[in-house]
Amino acid sequence: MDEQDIKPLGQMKHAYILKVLEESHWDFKKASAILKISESYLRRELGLQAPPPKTPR
Amino acid sequence: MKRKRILIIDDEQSLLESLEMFLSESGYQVESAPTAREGMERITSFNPDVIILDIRLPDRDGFSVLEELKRHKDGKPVIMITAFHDMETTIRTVKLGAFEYIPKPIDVDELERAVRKAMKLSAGSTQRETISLDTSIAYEEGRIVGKSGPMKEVFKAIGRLSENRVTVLIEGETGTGKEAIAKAIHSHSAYKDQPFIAINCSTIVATLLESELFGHEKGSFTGATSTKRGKFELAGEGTILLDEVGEIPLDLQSKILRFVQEKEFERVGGEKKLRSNARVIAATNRNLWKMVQTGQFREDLYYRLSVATIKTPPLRERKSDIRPLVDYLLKRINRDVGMGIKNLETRALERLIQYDWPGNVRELENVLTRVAMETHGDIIVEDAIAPLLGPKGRDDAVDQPTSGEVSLEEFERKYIVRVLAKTQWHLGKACELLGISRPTLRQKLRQYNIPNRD
Repeated sequence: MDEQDIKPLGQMKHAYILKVLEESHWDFKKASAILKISESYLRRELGLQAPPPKTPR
Repeated sequence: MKRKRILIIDDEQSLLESLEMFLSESGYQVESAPTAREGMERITSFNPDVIILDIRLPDRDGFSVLEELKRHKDGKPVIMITAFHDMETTIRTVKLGAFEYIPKPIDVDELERAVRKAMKLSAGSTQRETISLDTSIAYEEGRIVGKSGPMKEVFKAIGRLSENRVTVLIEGETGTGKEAIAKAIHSHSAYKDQPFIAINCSTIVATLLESELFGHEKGSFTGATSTKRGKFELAGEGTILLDEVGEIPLDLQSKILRFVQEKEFERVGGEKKLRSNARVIAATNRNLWKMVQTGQFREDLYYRLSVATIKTPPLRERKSDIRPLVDYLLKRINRDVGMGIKNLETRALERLIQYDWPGNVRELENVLTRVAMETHGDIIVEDAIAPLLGPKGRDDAVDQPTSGEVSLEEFERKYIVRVLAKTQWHLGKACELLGISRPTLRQKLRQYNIPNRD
């Protein structure tokens, strides 16, 4: 891996999520099981679901 | 299974009977009303899934009935039938939101097809999982939409480059918004009130391109009946965008080089040296460096143009931007095409996210415009989107991580370790490359039990 090939972490995670989704034929349940994240997190990552409202501290 | 319901509102008794018989045999539960008043009453008592409505009724105009029906939020699909099949009637029917328009004498096959499609829509309106479009998003001409990491980098670059006048090379696939980025650099600069002139070098024949860029003197060639100023001159103190710069022929490239270096040029057929202080931004969807290596593009010009570079990310690498783009583009499409799309079936959005978008944002905009124009009602459904998407296309997976079926955390951990190894555990350098802050990196090292060797 050359330095210029290194991409920001967020971009790589997003690309990895897409890769897993493609490999699981866009089966959200299956992909979220592989990624060990919730289905709603996965949907939020793709903009399919609004992020949860921020609660004031 | 409960039969689907159809209400026919028409005063022509023989037609009512034959349609009732035909549609009942097709498996529908049918009721009819000979007047608008009775029809409206039946809508409440019978609750039809689809309404077939004649334009001419004895007590009321069918158009006004249609308008009233469409005002209801859960308005059922209305198929209009009429003996008047002129252009005006058709246009009015479609504008008022009828699902379909069928002229008399009725072709029963055509009617059945329309009923089937309308039933699907009707069923969908109550069963479909939908997403409401974000109406708070404001439409502004030239706005670049995106919140993803790659787009944040583009926005930062626009901010940096609008502070100076260096030459910029914007590289990216077709439809990724290269011209919009060039415009944004210009409009955020101190010289935003000066002209912004874009020229697409691929659409002008080589012989005319020189005259377009540098202008010409009267009589310099056949057809040059008067002196004409070129784009460099017209841009003045502003910006000139050389779009598809890779298409400029080699002999003209040397003249562009001279302008970029010295800000000087002559009109075609002219002898007088002219000056222009226009900033040059070049854009291309080709690999300009490869063109240099194959001798198709001058190396010295390449270096002059690429003092600063921006790479526009393809849409498939920023899929989290698809949702805000859909909200934004549909807002504009609703306004421009006079549509009232308010919702999107969740499956439709999923389809949009799954697709690879070889034509990028421009292709997304085209697909949304087409689907909006063909949409009856206020919801875009998956069935309408699917036929408009091309084959999956790209099979190259350059720069794509391989899954190997590991969890997202495991993937993140491995990637951080790889980057740390690459930077010889220099945390500052790693943070810069990973695009995260030092506290975030430290927190991740603790989370993943990665020893800190800094």
